[in-house]
Amino acid sequence: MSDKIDLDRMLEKVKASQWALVDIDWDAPGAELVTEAQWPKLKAFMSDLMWIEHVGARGFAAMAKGAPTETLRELYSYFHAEEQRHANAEMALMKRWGMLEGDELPEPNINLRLVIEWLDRYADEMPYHVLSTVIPMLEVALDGALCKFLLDTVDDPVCHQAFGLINGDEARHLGVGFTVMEMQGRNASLVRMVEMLAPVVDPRLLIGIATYLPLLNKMRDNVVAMGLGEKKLFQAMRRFEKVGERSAHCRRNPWYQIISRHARLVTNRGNVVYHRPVDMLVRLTGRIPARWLPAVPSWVHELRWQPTA
Amino acid sequence: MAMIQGWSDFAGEIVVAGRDPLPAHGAGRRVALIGRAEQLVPLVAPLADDAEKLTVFQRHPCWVVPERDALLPARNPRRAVSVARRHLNAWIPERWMRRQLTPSRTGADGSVPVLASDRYYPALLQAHCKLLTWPIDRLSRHGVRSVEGIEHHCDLIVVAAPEQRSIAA
Repeated sequence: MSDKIDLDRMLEKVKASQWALVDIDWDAPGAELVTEAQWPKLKAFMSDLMWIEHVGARGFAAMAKGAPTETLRELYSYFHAEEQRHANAEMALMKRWGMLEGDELPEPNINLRLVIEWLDRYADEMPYHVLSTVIPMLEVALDGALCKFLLDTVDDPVCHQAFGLINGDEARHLGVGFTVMEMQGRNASLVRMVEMLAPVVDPRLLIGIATYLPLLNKMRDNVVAMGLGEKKLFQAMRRFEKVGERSAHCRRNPWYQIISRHARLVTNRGNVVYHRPVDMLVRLTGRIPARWLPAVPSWVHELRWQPTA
Repeated sequence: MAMIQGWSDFAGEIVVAGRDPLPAHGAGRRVALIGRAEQLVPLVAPLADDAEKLTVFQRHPCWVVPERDALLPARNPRRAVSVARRHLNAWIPERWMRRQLTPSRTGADGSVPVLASDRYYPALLQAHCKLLTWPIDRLSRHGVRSVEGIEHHCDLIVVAAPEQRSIAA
């Protein structure tokens, strides 16, 4: 995957690989294959998954603003819409399984809610090379592990059809993600590396980190609660490092180094110095009353499970 | 225009603004309008006036100044951008929609057009109008499929022709 890909050709490929919710028959038989025992956990799981897709979508929107070339800008505007399509399709599955009432949106957990708030306020001002490392990490770890788990657990053929399409999109997102990380690490001088690291003292980024760390631990707890062994999640996170390590350029990208080393901390349960304070953050954020938070930004209301408008 | 796939699949009517006559076309119908912002600015309000529903697929936002400042872009492009920004902030209360309407290149170097209109923003805010900035995948039998996976049904598609492009700054 880390082999250099031609971004112009990738853009053509993305344009040629489009699909829409109307391509799927959401009333086809098979919904009954979701068992009663699975149902409540699956509802919580799908809700987390669709919010992660939606958060990823907003991340891509911010990257489209900061992208260094016209091709990348266009790719990211497609990826923004595609992640939204994933969230829409996952909501359509939830609707199919009777997990949504009327036009309600699933409730995001508090950590996702904080990330949404941060993205809305600060993501557009974040340096491109920070976002272009964090977003692939989230895609590999959360998306990758969660989708795989879902397909292993749920027999509904419509779910498999939808995720076949979703995974095809994700593979292209990751191909571009790793290529960009490589581009940024290519021949990076020491001065450039220090420049790239400078925003680490930006308070807006620090707030972002303070929402990102508990999100990962919270999601870990959630997937464990749903029966996905944390090992599988950790394997998916390690994949980020495995793919990145293949490229010398990627290894010279300081943000790749930070994010992949951090992934190692997250996946090492034995590291109490990291996990105790972060788990405490998860518990603290869990106590934030919903009424303290402002109304969700309007881009959230663009989500819809209906295939037509 | 040639970039839109599925042109012949659409069962409704397609009008090319600037080539075909526009008046009375939208009356009581569900209309989709496609184009770059500088092409759309003069079309949105007249279409919104009599369409049952108007979905605006806007690519590449541009700056819009009030009509009383119509000469400003030619005289003082830099000031025109700051006036346009104030015009946008005054009309559009919501952050995400403001972002959708803000050009990504903010320099007054001539790369972003500045148009004059008092009706564009108020028209977009009407309940039966919807601004979308998703890339378009293709036209289908019933309407416009955009990349967020939704098929937007309509009876009439108005495509702003590239020739209509006018750059004031």
